[in-house]
Amino acid sequence: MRQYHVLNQSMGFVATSWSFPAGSSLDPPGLEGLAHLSAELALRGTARKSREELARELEFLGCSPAVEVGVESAHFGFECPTRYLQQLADLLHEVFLEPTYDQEELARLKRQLFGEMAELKDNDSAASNLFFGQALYAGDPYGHPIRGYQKSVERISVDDIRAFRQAHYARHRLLLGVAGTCEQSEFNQRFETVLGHFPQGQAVELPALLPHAVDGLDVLLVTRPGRTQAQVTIGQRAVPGNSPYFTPLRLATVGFGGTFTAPLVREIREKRGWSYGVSASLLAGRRSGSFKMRFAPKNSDVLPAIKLSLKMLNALVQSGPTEKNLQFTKRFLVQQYPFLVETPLARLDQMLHIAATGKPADYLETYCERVQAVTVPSALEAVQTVLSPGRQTIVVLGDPSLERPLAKLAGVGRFRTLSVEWDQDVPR
Amino acid sequence: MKAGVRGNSLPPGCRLVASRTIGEQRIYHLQLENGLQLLVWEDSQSPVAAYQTWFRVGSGHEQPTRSGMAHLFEHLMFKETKKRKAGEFDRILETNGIETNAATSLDWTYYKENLPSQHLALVMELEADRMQNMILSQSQLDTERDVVKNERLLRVDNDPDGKTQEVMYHMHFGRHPYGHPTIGWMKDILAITLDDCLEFHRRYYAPDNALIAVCGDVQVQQVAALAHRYYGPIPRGTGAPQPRLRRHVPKGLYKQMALPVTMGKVQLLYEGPNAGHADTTVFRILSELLWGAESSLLREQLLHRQQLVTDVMAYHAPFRLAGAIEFQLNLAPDVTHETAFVALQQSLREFVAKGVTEKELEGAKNRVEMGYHRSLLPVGSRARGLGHWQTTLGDWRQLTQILQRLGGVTAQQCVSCVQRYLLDAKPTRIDVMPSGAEVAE
Repeated sequence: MRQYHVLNQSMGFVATSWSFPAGSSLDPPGLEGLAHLSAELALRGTARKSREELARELEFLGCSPAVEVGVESAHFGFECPTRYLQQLADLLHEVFLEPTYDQEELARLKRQLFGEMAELKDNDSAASNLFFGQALYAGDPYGHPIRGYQKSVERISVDDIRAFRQAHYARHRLLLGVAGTCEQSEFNQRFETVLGHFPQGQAVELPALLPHAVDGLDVLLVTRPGRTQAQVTIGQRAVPGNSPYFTPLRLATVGFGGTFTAPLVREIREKRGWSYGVSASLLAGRRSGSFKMRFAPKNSDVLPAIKLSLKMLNALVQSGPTEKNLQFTKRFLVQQYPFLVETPLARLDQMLHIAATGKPADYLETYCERVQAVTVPSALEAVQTVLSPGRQTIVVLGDPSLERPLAKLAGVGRFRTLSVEWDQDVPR
Repeated sequence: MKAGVRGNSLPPGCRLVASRTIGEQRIYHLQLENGLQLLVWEDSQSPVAAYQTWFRVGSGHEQPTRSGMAHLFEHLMFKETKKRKAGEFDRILETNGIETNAATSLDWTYYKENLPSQHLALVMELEADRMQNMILSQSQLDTERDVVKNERLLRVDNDPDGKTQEVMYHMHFGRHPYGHPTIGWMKDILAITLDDCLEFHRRYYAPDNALIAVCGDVQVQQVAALAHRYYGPIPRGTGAPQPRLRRHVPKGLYKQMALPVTMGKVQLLYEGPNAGHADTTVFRILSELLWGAESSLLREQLLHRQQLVTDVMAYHAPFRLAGAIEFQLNLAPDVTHETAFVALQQSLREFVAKGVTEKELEGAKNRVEMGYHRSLLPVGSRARGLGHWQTTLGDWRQLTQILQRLGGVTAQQCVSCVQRYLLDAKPTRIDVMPSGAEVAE
């Protein structure tokens, strides 16, 4: 177990974060959605309490439990006024150590989940994200939807969930964060009945990620007839958080499209009015990361906007950021630093993110030095090593009429079309 | 203990209107001679500050046939001034690590900066500059109009939920100031002229129609001195007309819409208490008891027990002129719109019949208290609270009195409000059908 604690005497409450490296990338083939269901079911009752009783008792304490499952981890958040901390500890003992695996509750949860999945597909931006993840990591456990597919979720049984929890919700895998009005010693004492009794679990071996094997641009058009505007995401796999290329690549990305005055935003939004939102971003996890450009132009501007952004990306990779641009980005990020740690909760979030993504332990303390150390040559080396403008994955969610122009885009290595309704688990 | 500010320690032309202590922190309300109000919340825990400029103008101030003006103008405020070229405003801020943005609603428009506190003078100089020296050109208007058109395509025309909400507010409020969308009807966005923009700026963007909310690592004397220097010379405006508070009588209209969605939905809008009405505090509790918590009545009944919906969402929005209580029921397969609506009403009737236990009430208060404490941690949220309440009601103290008011809410008040606002009233209702489904005329 790794524990991080931020003490603040004036908050009057305590926020706790319980994370396990038990995200959707650990879903076994054919059981996509298992990590998500396992986490959600954890709050649907215990051996002693029904779902409704558990919810009532947690919520009486002022707690609004949060469950969040990502590709790499499953996270639970609980908070309450300090006066109720012991009651929270008693309830979390039941949640984590006295689980129930109720068939009826699982069936109900699945029905709600199917509704959520449909709702997600109805939203263009969310659906676009979903398809981009699948296209970027096609065939790899990193790629399937976190909630799984309808068919795979239907297959998941309480026994699958029991086995998943026993393997992954273990003491040595727990990342615990606490912030608020409570000393660490007092917290550990109150939560001894939880922390001292977590199962030990076993080591989990992670298979290597499958390579993205398309030579040239990998274009996927996700069709939704009648749309007058498209959601465009262009990107590729990048580096995990502990890579030496991460910081220089982040500076190059922020300088390229991470602020209102960055070149990508200036060219697409300010000069041409092609899209309301425009951004370039770099995400990094423990095992992988991604570089993305996103915008949403009307149909007639989709192709010009894609061509322009690819041209600009190519220029970035050829020459790297300019000295002026890099200095601007450094100043922006360094001066922004106080906001990263503005509140106890923000500081704790940073500490947990650093631990979860495998960044160096002193990353937060040395953040400004790391940013300042980036040079044009180091940024150029990072973009040239990591980014490949000619091998970007491009996902466009929009009207089927976009098919012809997109298929003719120069440099396409693979072009596919799927309906937004598509939802099936593909045999590996 | 920190010393408070006295009138004679402020610059000439700047008066102390009121102040309040919260723990070891202090909030000051000041006013310049030109009418500009300043709210300053001193908090030196972190070397950051939030700076927000609020104008008493939103889409509720527009003529129904000139919709979208307030929002488009908000975009234009980031362009050029007599002192600075287009793009310079954003660039200077970002170079100093300052994040900036803006938002427009029915009652207000606000501009915000989150800044390292050493840059307070820079931000105040830039904000005062664009309040008085803004320049507009036709080409800037045209480009920004394209951006706003794209924003409308994103938020409304290609988003079934956005589309439904726009139609529902129009059905519910009709020609009331809240009946047209904040982003504007597309035909109105296309029709806005440069002269409209200049007139809008002259009328509403004056110091006596604005207030500044600052929260963070700043001193009130410092803020007052900088305000006096940068904003003091800006003349008062000619008077910004405000829409009158008027009784709105919804007609309980009903409509079916076929949209590209997978599952059907029921959207409801009830008239709720407006900002400042004593019942808004009761609705903070009701939002926990009825829909906000996992154990709340409607989630328990409609989602978990009867399994008629796959989700239930609701929201009480207390605007200045009227309040709105919105519900969205996402239907489970094979459940009709009417079945879900009737079940909602039945659940509310049972709530009134059974009443609220003291324990349920205490739990709801605990959750609101937690949400309140959490929301006030970042300086930006605190500045937003001050700005919102002062702009909407002319009373920033509402923000600091929430918990006190909450303590007085009774179970009987909760029951009465459900009866009056939700059971005795007829909502505006839209049944959303997946495209291809038969829609009744």
